[in-house]
Amino acid sequence: MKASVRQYARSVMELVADKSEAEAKALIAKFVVFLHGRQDLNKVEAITEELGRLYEIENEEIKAELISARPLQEAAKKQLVAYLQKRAGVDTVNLQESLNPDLLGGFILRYNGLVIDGSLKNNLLKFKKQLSN
Amino acid sequence: MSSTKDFIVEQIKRQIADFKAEVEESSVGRVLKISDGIALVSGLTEAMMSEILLFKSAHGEVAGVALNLEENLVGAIILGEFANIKEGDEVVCTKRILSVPVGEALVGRVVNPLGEAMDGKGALNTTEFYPVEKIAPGVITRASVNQPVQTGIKAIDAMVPIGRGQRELIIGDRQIGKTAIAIDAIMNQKGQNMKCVYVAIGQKESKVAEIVRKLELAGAMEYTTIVLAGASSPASLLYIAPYAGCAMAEYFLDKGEDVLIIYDDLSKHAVSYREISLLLRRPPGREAFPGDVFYLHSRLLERACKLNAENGGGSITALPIIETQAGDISAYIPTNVISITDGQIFLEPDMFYKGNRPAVNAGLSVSRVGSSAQIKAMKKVAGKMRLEAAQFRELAAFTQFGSDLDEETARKLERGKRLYEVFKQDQYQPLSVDKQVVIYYSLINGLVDNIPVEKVREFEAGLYKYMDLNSDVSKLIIEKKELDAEIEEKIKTVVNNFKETLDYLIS
Repeated sequence: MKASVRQYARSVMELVADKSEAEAKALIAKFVVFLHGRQDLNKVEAITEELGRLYEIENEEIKAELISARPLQEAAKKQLVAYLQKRAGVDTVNLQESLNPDLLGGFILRYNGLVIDGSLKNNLLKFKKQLSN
Repeated sequence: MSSTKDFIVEQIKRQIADFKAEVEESSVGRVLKISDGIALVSGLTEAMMSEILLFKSAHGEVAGVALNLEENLVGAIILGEFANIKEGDEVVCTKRILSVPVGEALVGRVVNPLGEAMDGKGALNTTEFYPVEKIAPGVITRASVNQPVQTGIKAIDAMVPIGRGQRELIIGDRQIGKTAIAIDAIMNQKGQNMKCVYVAIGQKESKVAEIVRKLELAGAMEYTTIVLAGASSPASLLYIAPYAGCAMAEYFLDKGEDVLIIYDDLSKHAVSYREISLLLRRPPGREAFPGDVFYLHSRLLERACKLNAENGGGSITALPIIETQAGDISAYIPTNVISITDGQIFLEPDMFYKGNRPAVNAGLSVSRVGSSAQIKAMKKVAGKMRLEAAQFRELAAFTQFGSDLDEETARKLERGKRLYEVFKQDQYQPLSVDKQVVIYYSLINGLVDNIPVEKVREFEAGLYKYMDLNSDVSKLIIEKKELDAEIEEKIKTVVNNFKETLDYLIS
């Protein structure tokens, strides 16, 4: 029976849980050979991606991307992180910050397929739509 | 001049002051694969079943509907131009279930399944929306069928009567008059407190244009909406068309009105659903249709109903049409829809080519609930007439080779021939119920026996004109709805009087 990407990722998680680094390395090497045997090596990329997601769920941690026109103030960032913690029900939020002057002002926050758009550009576009209606 | 300028500036200022900047939260995914109007989208973890998705392509936004919700993927059909959507394009959830505009503004219009005007008469001004998919009314809210739908077609109103809230299938080969029956039925609804919705699924647009023209000429567009998903529309639009038409009908149902809805035709609808399902990689079954093709039609036709008085007393009567291949009613889709509906009108090629039009096969056509909705007068004459028709069919087959017949058999055969002559009716010539009662009454009581068979139609046409001018029997039948001794006597008198003016009677 074919195993799904999620099943592979979950088994790797369970395999390496509470193992030392050396043990884990050996186990992972074995896992790669096992994958090769099942002709599933092409799924490696998807499995690592899924592993990252599982790790986040396990550790109540998420990665989020914050794009803003200018560097945001610490207080504002804290507010956003607090909101995300509540919205996603996690303890830790790892923010990846980047700047994009095209937004004109405000910010865009992305995590896990969700986009929170508070940019000036989006608001102006919406205003344009409202005016033309 | 300056006051106008000030006014404009003031307006713009107000608009700006009214605008509230806000933070928008949305679920976003990316197109992984797009082909043949089907898109696979990653992400969209919060997408709902049959939610509208917006595909943001370089050439503007295109709407789609989520149909397959998988672990990491969403399979969606695209409602519109999909050539501009590319892999990697952004897709946004709208948190809105697919819905169509409904309301009085749709009456007299030709719209596409999304409720956009197709007739060049300008945009529709509607404020209300109804979901395209809706669970049918439950058993508590329903009443039994008790009012007739007069189709104006003699053979149907007498032999396979249709009641308000019934689902009656029209089935037959191509080019045999299925649509003609439906259009005649719409035309005959004038002044009968009935709204009509005609859903054209995969029809040639030239044919639909012709239908619209005919309905306009007959004044029938005043109460009719046409939902058009033409042969060149993508399968996704064909698939939602009947549900959208039904949603538009449900608006009137909720207002307590009666609606007649025609799905022309459901075979093409099933084919479009098969296309979508195969592209979404759902497993194919018999004739390559997916496993839920029965549910596809049953959930649609179950929405036809007659509501009880506490729920407004409205009704939706559905006339689905199915096209068979070489008269094969035992194929997959025909058997499915026959089992869902409350009866069928079977049109037969042999009869059609012999000139019996409408080619309703009296043996295979049935109506399971309609007889309880006939008016009493019609019920009285139709029962006996059905018996005569059945006896004639039996005898005609039996006596094909024999020559010597006893008097009784010969008499039945002669009457049967006249009966089948009466069943013949031209297109776009619906006949009111009172006249139907008169002609059937005359027939079963032997008043037509001395009219030569080839003159029966001429006699019929003359009789209706004579009746309108010289008798109040039509009015009486419509008022009383039953045949009492007085009306029977009046029918006899008017028919005999008319016969005295004729020179072709058999002596």
